[in-house]
Amino acid sequence: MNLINLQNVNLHYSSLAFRETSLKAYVFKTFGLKHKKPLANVHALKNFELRIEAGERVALIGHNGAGKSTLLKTIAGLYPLSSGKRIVQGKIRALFELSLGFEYEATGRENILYRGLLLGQKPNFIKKVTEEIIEFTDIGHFIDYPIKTYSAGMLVRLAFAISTAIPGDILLLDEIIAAGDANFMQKSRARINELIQNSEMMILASHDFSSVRSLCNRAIVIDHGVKLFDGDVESAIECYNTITKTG
Amino acid sequence: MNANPTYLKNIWESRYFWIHLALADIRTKYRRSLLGLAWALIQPLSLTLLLSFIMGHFFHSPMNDYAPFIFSGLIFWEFITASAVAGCTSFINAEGYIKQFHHPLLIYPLRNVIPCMINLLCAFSGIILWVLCWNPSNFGWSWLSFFVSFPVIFFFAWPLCAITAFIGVRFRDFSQLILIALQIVYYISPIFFLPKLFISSHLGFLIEYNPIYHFLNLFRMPLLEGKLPSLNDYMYVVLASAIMWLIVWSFARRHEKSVIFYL
Repeated sequence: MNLINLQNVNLHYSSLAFRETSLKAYVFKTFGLKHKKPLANVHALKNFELRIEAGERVALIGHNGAGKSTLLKTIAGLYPLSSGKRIVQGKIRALFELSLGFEYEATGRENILYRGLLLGQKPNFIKKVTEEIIEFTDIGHFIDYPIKTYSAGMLVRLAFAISTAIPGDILLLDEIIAAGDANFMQKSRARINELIQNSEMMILASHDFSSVRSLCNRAIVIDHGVKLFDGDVESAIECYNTITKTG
Repeated sequence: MNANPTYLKNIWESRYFWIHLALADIRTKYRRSLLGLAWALIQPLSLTLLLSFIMGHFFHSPMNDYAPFIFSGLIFWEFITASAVAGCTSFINAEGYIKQFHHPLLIYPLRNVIPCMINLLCAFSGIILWVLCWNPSNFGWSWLSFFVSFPVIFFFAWPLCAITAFIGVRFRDFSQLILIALQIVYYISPIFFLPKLFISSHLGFLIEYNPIYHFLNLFRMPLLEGKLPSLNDYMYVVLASAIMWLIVWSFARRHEKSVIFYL
């Protein structure tokens, strides 16, 4: 049974990551030669409780920096929890940071293989879906060129096609990704919708209320790392609008 | 990382991923080069010829003995340096992967060490040929020890690469420091100075307690003297590897998950 269960989760972004990123800075600080006001750790998720079960289509709404993407990445298991418990049953497929993680010297075809393997597939499976991916990207004979020759649009199309060709139970989306030109955008929308239909569970972080209304049956409002509201979509949007007004 | 079977299992399960990335690195490196992997051989060979000519005159060592000594020193030293240096950017270069999928982090240094190993094996074929042509009497059963020695040094280079990877992602200027450190080790190890020079200058302790010396002996003994490396040599290398694995383990236990914040 697929399930996401976060119990009293707290997450801090360590400020060490932006201070003293060099040995030099570290040495200066240790010997007290430099007095800079230290940056505080960022408390990105605060006592977060969340339970999502199979069949649910959940929207995360909130301002930029409210913690939507952080929550998605926490569910995906990428971030370390400061405290609390994360239980996830089911195969996760996340569509974020799409344009990252290419081998630029390798060809498009090779990159299909690498990314498929990154996402935990076996070479045999990837061989089976390669032709379908190539067809979907519409890249044509460029697929055998090194991808450093690709335009930005082609890269996104390739990334999108690979990531959406691999099955999973729990779909995590950071905004509905619509890549490329108008024609491709339509195609990719159709593909995302199909993916959502086929997934057991979906979580979508979005600012676009029309897609939230059409795709989701539950919505969560997040503000400053705190869950403000959890319930039906219309009330959630209302709640979001109130916090926007009051600032 | 917990030193638990799950972590090792995850490394094994992602094997297709890191093997393909390692192969991609090799292909990229030699994709547009005329001679491909032969460069791995030509580069140390030319340096060997030069060094053995000059040093051979300085130290009155006969070229025929001295050249394979230098050659073996250079290629194994190159393997160690390449592994340590590649580690500094191992996690940084894998940013796109680390931010998308949760694989065990140790696969990224592994990915870097494999091409270094393949390079080494190519260069190693050169010294095998050399010895077979000019010192064929050294060929014998002792060469079977290579089948043990190569895995041993692989598990020496992997934690080395992982250590520099963890430090390199935290301190971006660490690669400068490691270059200096490597240079120091280079000159206090018998890479191209004969061990007897250290001993006759009362610097014997520099080689006796130096894992690099024993590391090189694993290959020099069979190649240059037709003898098995001593158990002592194996012990030093395995001990050094074990210490490095302990360091990797303590790094990974505390920082495996937070590496993503430093990218």
